[in-house]
Amino acid sequence: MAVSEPATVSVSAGDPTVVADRVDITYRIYADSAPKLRKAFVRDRRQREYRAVEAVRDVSFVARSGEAIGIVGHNGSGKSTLLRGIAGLVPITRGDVYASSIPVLLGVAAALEPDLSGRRNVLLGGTALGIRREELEERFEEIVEFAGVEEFIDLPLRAFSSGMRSRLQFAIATAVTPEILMVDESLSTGDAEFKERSDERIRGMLDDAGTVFLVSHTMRSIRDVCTRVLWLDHGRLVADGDTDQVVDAYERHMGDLKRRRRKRGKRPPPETR
Amino acid sequence: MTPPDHPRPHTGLPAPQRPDLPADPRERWPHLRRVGIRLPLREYLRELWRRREFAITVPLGELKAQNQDSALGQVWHLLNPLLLIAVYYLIFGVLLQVEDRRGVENYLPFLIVGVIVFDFTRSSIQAGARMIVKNRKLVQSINFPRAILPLSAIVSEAISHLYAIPIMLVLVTLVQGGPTPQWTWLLLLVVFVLQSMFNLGISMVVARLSFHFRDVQQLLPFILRLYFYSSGVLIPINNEIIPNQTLVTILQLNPAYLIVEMAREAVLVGPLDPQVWLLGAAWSVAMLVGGFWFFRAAENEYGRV
Repeated sequence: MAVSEPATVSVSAGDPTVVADRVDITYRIYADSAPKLRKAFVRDRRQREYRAVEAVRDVSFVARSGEAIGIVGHNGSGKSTLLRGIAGLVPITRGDVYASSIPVLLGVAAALEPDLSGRRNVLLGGTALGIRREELEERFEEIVEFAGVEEFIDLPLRAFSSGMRSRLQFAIATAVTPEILMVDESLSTGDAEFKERSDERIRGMLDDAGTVFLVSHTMRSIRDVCTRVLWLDHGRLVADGDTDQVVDAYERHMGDLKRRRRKRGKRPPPETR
Repeated sequence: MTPPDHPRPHTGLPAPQRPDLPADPRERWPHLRRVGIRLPLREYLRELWRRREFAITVPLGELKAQNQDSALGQVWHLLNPLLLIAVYYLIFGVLLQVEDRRGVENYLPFLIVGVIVFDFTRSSIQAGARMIVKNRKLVQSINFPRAILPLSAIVSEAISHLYAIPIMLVLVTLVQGGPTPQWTWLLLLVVFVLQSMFNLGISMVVARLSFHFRDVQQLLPFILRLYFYSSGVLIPINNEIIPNQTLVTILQLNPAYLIVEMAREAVLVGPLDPQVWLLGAAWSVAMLVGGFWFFRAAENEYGRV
């Protein structure tokens, strides 16, 4: 848990908002079971059968306010882990992360209860994010309207379509504009009209000197929103720069991989974890 | 063991350079704060308080969900200890006749209070133990003081226990040898508060332990069973039963025994023993403070995969 007072420090455009310095995130994955009490007492190294997965390796960058940073990479390249590490949700193994305020990950979904009504869920998700109750009530209409779920708000959440749900999540997470917002591939479920509205809200944040991180496999949404792109490959930062340049290079690389795979016939692709 | 290294993809772009950073970037940019360090205690408690709504809504949703699972739903929460009481009475009261042989007067009211009060602690520990592991996804998605998870488990168990208390009181007045309603019953509120504090503290300890070692959850039922037998729920702890005086003293200093004993003194006609109440209160405060400290020491680890 770290500071989550949303947007109290006012940063002017161009100031660093997130500094990652040589960040490593390594997990221990136990071969096929959770850590055992017994193993804590076992000195023999061979008995401790875990594998260290280096999900993020030596990543450094400085994000500045007003930037929308896309993160691209193959499945398992460490994109989501990097976001969670920067947000202080997953412990960092080595290196340092500094931020002007605690990044808000668009992950309210995990806090919501399918059996409660949409109305209760707005309160639940909002309070989980640390938004004060009065403020939530004040902005309630706005949240519901933005999500476009006015008619359903008193039904249990499980009656919502997945698009409605992700719209509501986005609306809750951005109800009080966070200084640093992280979006993990969740814009894809909304329809085209909502995507436009959420893109607009993100651009509004950028104008207010916010910083946005967007993890996505949809290159079009990266190109639409981002001003800069980080490319991760097996946990390493392999490119960092202008959106069009990096996305072009990434698409070329993915195209190459696809062609090579096809040439090799039915052989499975190289292990990508 | 590390996986084989993968060749860097050919990007056609210059390799990213590590930005030129001072040893501590805060020197150059004082508005930055370090991510992934624990909040100072005061801020931590303030964040906890800000999310009180969340701590209550989660258990309510949980109770509702449990409701839908079985035909009798919520009633099982109450039926469970009642059936247990019936079983224990059959064995200890009727078959072994502790009433006559061991100097226990009015065994049934003694048993009812013991089982229902101990059950609050048992179910709290069990619920608290699961909280971190069960809510891994939530922990990896949202920043909040992790202590809210065991807290919400205890809130949920405390609500259930508040339903059980009146039933317990009605029951003891109905059975043979039970007390009539009296002023000392109000002291049950004190017991309730102290017991909730104790439960919260101990379930924070167990929550952290079962995060590090998943086996704890497997062992827990047996440990709790042992604790149940050594806390004087079924049979009073005295020299009639246990000849070894040292052992009796040790068992009488155990917090669950003290809590059960306080409840019995309040509900049944027993005289109030100030030593029991003071020790019980001291245990509750110490457990809450110690458990919270132990839990918070690993605050930033709980998101580990």
